[in-house]
Amino acid sequence: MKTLENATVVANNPIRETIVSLWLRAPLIAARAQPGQFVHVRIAPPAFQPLLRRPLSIGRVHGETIELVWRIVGQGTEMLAHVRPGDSVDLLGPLGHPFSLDPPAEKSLLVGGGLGAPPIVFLHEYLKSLGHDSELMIGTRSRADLPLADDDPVLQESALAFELPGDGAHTGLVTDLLAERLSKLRDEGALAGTAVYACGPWGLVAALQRLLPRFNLLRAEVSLEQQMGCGVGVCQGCAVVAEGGPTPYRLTCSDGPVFDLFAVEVPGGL
Amino acid sequence: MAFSLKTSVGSLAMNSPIIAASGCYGYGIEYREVADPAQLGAFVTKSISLERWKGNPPPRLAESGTGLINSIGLANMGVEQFLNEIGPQLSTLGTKVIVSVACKVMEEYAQVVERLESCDAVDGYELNISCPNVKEGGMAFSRNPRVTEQLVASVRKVTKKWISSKLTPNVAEIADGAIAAEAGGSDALSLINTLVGMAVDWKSRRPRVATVTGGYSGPPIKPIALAKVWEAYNAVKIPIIGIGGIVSWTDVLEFLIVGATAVQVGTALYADPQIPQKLNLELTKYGIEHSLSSLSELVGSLKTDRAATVGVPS
Repeated sequence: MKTLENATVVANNPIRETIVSLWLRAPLIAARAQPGQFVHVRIAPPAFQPLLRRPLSIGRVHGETIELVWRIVGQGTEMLAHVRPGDSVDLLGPLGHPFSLDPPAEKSLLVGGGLGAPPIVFLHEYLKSLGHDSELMIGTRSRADLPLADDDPVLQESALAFELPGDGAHTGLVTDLLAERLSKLRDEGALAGTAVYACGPWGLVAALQRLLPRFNLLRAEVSLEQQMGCGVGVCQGCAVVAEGGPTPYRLTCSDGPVFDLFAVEVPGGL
Repeated sequence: MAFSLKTSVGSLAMNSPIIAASGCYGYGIEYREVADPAQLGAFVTKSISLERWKGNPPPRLAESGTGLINSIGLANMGVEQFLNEIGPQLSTLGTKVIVSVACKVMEEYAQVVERLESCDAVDGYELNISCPNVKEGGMAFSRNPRVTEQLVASVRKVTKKWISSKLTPNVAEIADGAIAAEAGGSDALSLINTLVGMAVDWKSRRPRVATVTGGYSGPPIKPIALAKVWEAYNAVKIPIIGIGGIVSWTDVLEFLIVGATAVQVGTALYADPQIPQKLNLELTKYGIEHSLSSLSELVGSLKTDRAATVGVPS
């Protein structure tokens, strides 16, 4: 059940040079949000400039508050970064198809690439709250690109991979960490009860599609990002090439954003 | 006399002059949880074709300036599934239902409308003969006045229900198409469909929608739409529904003044699905303050005597 909710800004934390973490009091959306879903954010009402809402994954949900994390990449994301505590933000949500958790995995390996990490952190906290086994892996270009503050307690529970060398963490891709972990689980005979949940850029989706056929998992799902218009399946603007529907295309907003990893076709191929 | 928003576009009587434009309100059911469709005078469905259409490859959208370029390619479920799945729900929406029809060959328009005649909840049809995003048919139909007239006449033969013809602005003279649609038996005109537009990513040197060009909509096209409505208003007798970049009640008034009897709100719905009820409130306030009984008093009221025309600072 989606709703239009006027959320109130609780905290606006510029956690990196161009990355913002916004906590909003949004009781209706917080009560209904499931990991993998998103909200569609109106930038500067009542003006229609920018024209469209911006889709942002729901990061953590704590009580009646939700976290949104984004990188400033243009006018809309820049304007939204300037809201202050007490300001009102028009949200449409929760939207989209969440990560599948039924039947539950014995072990969930969670992979966040860049700004794909926040919904994965939400899933991690959610699984832990249910008493499920969840391991978090986050990969970014460097520490300066992490969508989590340096003092965020979640970092203590995360395996980190940075593409640029020299920061203590693994140098390379987050999928290196995943491959290592999956090999170990295979040796232990634990793959059949293991699920991989991921969110990140197309490069990560491609790397997972190359890596995971070697492992016989319970499930592998990925959350995608795409240019979006309405957010509710009306405009059909956010199509991706994916199996499972009556046409070769599926909608990121209403069929996704979470898809079976192997159902989606990476633009330009693997 | 008390003010009322009630508006008639020919034989189509509505509770409000605000109509949701095709492609911007889905099949009428998607926004129900967040906005009451009964606030609309009518809604126009996503265009329906004879068979299911898969639409164009992604990416399909590019925000450009304060407008939007789309290249959806009329993706839709086809008339049979529409009748089976959506048809039974239409009478629960509390608003008039106009089904948009789009086809690749002229003969199919009448076939689709004939199939739709079995659905009592359908109040009328909008012939989309102006989509810039399909390879066959599309805006080619309404670029040719002779084809426009024949096509409208072929649909007129199979239905007594209200028909509006949605024309492309991508022509030298929209009046030619307007006159042709009127001659074919159209009850009204829907003006305008999107303008052919293009957005380029200068870094990758790639077009931002997969079909290279798309249809441009949103606030930047309003001045062009106003000019096209005015041109058609002076050429035909049938009523005109104004479409193009409406985001506020003053935009609505501008369209009425240049000759539109009602308007469609499109792209703005993506940002604010509740905009119809806001427009209704503001227009009612305006009507009462100006002692109007109906907004129809404004239609075509543009004053063009030069002596009194002054520039307005903005």
